[in-house]
Amino acid sequence: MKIMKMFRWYWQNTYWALVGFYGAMLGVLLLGSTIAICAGESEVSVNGFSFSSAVMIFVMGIVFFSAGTRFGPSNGASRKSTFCGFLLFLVTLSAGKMLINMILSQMGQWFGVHTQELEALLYPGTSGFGGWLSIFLCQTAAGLATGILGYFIGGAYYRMSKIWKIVVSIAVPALVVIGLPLFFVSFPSVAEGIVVKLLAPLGNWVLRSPYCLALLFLGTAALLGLFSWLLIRRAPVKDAG
Amino acid sequence: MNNGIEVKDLTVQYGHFTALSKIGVSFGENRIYGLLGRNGAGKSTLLNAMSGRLFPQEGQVSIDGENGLENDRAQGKIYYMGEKNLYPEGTTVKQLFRWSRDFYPDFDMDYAYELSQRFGLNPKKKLKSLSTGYLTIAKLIAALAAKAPYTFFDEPVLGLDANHRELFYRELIRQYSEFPRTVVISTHLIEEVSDIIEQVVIIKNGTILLDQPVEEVRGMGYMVSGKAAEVDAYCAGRQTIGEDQLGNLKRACLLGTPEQVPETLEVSAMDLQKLFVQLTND
Repeated sequence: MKIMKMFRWYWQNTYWALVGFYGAMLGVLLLGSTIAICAGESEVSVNGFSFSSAVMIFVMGIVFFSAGTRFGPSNGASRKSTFCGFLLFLVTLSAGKMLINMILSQMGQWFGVHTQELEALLYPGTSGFGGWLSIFLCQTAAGLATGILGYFIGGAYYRMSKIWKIVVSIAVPALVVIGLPLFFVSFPSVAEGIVVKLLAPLGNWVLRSPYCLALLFLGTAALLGLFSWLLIRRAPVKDAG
Repeated sequence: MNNGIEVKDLTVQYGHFTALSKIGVSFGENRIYGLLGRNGAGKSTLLNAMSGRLFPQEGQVSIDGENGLENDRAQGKIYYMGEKNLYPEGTTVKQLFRWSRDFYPDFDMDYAYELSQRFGLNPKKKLKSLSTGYLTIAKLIAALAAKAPYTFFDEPVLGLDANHRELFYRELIRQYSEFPRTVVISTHLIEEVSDIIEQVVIIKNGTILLDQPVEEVRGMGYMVSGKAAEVDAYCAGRQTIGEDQLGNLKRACLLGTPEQVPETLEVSAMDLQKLFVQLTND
């Protein structure tokens, strides 16, 4: 199996993106602390480290489906190795990024720059190593889910014909921007039923513990991973043939 | 066949179009094959299917006796230099070599750099900034340096000038004599490869039309040259498949074996390209 070879290849294509990302993050931290010092403030708050990390991982997911599917099978790696290599890469990328985020966040505090994560707001009671671990797991699982979502979207576009790409590109945003609000306005009782009966219990369950949120993300990642595997397992190397 | 690539009943379809129809062909060990065919005949599709880049609707590909589809070990024996650039944007020649070394354990990095120097290719350049010719050269060097047991070249001299083409053919032969392997060259430049290839495989409309050693193919016909009137007289009543004339001198390609050739005419081996044109004409 060439899983480790593909794993290394994904990482080799990620170095510079990571350098750019953390360069920007450090810049934000330095700017924040400089502003705080100049304004005579003792501390300043910066948010969205893990969110921007998740966005970056999502974009990498989109890019790496086509890049990996072109590169792997044309260099003697099977689709299975290409896919498993990506999963391994994604797990390490998510965990690594979230770990670096937490270290950066801690460093920021030394210079009076406070970062606040969504998970800390959702679960205010979490503290100590257990709390840190639960938030780390949550963020890693979130990174994993967004990465695979990107991979799935990249894969769906890779497999679609040009006509379907156009149809989906128009239909999906139209459904979200027009269709959903129209549905909520036209069928308020049905919409309310969905929210009350389906989403509210899920929300309540997620709010019980950060581990529940992590499980939700992992479940989503597993489901999208399955769909992504179905997309890649018979994917041709595009421009070939 | 335990060693070599064996293709059985391979069918590849693109929508309603059948690119390959129940093809059966084998590529034995340590031979140089010429894969010939007109545009759209199915040459690249066959190479893509054998190298696992696309999935056939039917049929099997075995590599050294193993199933060739979705098999890391078997596919790792094939290096396919295709026409398209399948590397991510921003990839440099150096990275191309490094990645090839990661995936092909016999990749010779020193040889790749040596060839780069001889071809005048700057390894620091990005693939997308290279001209068509130099992009081909970068891929050719990677294919030669990979030293894979099965090396496929699809239009290997696309965009190359005469000097670089000469250098490539020379290097291919030199390397083949040092490290024998199976080489499949798919090209339209038949005359250029006719002295290199040992076996000819011709594809027509998705089926194998001919699969024979070059000597046998050349033996299918012959050429006569001399004064135009004498050549015309000799060709009368014989199956002629092509003619060239320059002033009063004429050369004709005929099928069959030379019989009762006048002493004033010169007989030579069959022109592969003429035979190809004849065989693949609709």
